[in-house]
Amino acid sequence: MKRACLMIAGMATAMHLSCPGAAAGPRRKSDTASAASVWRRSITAGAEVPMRADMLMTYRRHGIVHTVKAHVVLGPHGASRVEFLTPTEVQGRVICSDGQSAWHYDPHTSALEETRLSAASEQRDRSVQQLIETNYRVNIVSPSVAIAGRQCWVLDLLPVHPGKSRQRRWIDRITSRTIRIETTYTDNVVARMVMYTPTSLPATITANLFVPQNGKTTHREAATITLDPHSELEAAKVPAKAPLGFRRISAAISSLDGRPAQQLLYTDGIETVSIFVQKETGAQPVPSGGWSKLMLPGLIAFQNTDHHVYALSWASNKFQFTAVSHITPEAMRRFVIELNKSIQ
Amino acid sequence: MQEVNRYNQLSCEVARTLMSDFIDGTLDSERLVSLNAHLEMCAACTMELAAIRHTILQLRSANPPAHLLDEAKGKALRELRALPQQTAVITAPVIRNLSWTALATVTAAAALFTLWVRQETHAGNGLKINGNRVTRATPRPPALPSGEALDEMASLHTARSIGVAPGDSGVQQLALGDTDSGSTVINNEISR
Repeated sequence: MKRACLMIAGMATAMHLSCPGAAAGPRRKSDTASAASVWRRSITAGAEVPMRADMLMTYRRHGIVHTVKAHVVLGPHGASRVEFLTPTEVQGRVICSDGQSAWHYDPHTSALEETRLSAASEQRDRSVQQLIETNYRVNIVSPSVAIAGRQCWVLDLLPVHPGKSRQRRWIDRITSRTIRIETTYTDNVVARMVMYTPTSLPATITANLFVPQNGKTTHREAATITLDPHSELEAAKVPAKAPLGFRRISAAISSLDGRPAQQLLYTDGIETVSIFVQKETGAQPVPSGGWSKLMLPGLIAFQNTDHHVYALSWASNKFQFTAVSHITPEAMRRFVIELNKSIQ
Repeated sequence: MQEVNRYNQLSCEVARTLMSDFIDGTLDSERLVSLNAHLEMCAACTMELAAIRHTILQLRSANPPAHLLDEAKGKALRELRALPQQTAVITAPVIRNLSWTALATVTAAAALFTLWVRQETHAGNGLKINGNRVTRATPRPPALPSGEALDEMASLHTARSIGVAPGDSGVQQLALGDTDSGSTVINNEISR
């Protein structure tokens, strides 16, 4: 059940976040539109245009590509409905959201769970948009490419700082709906991809698509705990503003290796770095299990790599920090060296 | 001075001379690689470096008055010079090769280290410094996350990264099947 909860929470949050901005109708763009205007329209007006589509998503984990297929209906203000087709273990599941709550229905157990979503403020949406525009150059690759039966703008979001992934987006020329997003590592391996093949765009929708019609609901409140300034982990004092254009956007508390851990999530708008903070144990590190020692200017660290996931662990001020990200090792080292100066 | 041994590695003596530049962050990349290679093989130097770094952190957090610091520096230098070379935390050749700023930092750190060791001695754990041997001169670095913890960190990272960028979808959450750690919360801070 916990596993399902985590899935729905992330799913619903992501779908909610994917539709920021004020409502507006579809608009025809001229061929002379700037990259910035096409991009901004896609995350504001375009994200509000109702769409029915078949969704294909791929992602990599431990170097293996996984695929997910679903029927989706995307509405305005973060409303969404997703009916999963593959993989087989999630076939038949339905997640719908009206933008304020998300409901997860599992046909195998007939359980219906509700999760209240944290309010995604317009201010936060604008902040993410600003982060992207600060840390990425938006270029038009092509003004018109046919994909999924639609004519699309093709935009590239290229990182200002080396060592980060780049992103390519296909944006419907008529509605400004984003049709495909492809994120690629620096070595040209596709990290993840989502593609919508519209069956109806703009679609005619009704509000009841995004709320459950029957079933007994189990409520699950989304936690909104803030960092406790008196907690021991908070005493690590990792700054909210980090190097390479990253900003902290969330904090979570969990347990790793039987010890409390705080996960601080940083983003530059597209890339992310997690920093896990734990109290130092005083135990002698044994560089095994893929860990190896690394001398960096001003600190001794240990590194570990699993395909495109890179981890760097170090100690400072009686805390143990472990940074995890998909940015390159070189970029991560620069990030950690600079960040550690602030921590000390 | 013997720069390298038969394994083409730095000697401990040379490695120690590079530590102040390393701490200052001014070590050039070639010597950084050499020092790294040496520390991979030499637990003694690794511990020594950790001890110096620890005392510098102590110094920064203690922030003692300047006159006390000067007094402590002088006393620490006298005590350090009196130490037998095999057991000294910072040996004479190291001090000769330190830059002015590094010398100030390291000596001040050493002063605090001396005070710390004395406290430890008074606490009865057997540490000694004046004319005797130092049996433990380093804070222990942290234990590393286990394989399971690291895998979970990677999964949590991926899970919470999804949906950050506008238009990204959360279906990748399905990859989270084995990542539930009972973790709580997420609070948005970016707009603060």
